[in-house]
Amino acid sequence: MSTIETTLTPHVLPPFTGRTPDGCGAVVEFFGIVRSEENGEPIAALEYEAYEPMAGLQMQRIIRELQSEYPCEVVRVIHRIGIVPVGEAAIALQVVARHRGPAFAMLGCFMDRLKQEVPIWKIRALPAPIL
Amino acid sequence: MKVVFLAQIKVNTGCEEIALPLSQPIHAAELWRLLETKFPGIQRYQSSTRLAVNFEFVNSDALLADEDEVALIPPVSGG
Repeated sequence: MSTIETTLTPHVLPPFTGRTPDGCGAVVEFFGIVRSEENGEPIAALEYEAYEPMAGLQMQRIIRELQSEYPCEVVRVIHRIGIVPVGEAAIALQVVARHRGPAFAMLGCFMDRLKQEVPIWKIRALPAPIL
Repeated sequence: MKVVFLAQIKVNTGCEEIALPLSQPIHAAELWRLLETKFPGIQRYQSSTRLAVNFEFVNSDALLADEDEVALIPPVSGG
């Protein structure tokens, strides 16, 4: 039985913890960091909004679908909502699998689908202060 | 029916959701017509917006019932 965890939070994303399941040789983690510019303009932060009840269900559905092709033991996703300052992670993803191939594939495919199918939005960029 | 507005559509309507009582199921096109009477200009989002019924995406020809929660999902941009 694999583990799927999806979380939306307004808080700073914590590092992943936990024991690697027996038989797993690959742990792949990705942190999507807010860059210092958006559409060529310097920014201080991005603000995210989610349709929360659907976003969690949709992330779990995508992971289950991908698992038929890329079997993984653990997939954890944490997406931040609200204001996320430059330099902080807006999303963190951890994938644990027996081998690195499915783990990397799961991570890449999930991120591609998240950006198409999960109801989360960058609703505005907060401009960087002018010095 | 509960209709949920999100992201830029929520900004346009000025509210997060409305109750829209239905005496019989309607198609998406009729929903947009009803919404246009309440929020003039909202139909400009129709071509780029997907509908979700009870937290699942549906096709544009789906029937929408009074007990449904229907969300208007503009293009997403998470991650």
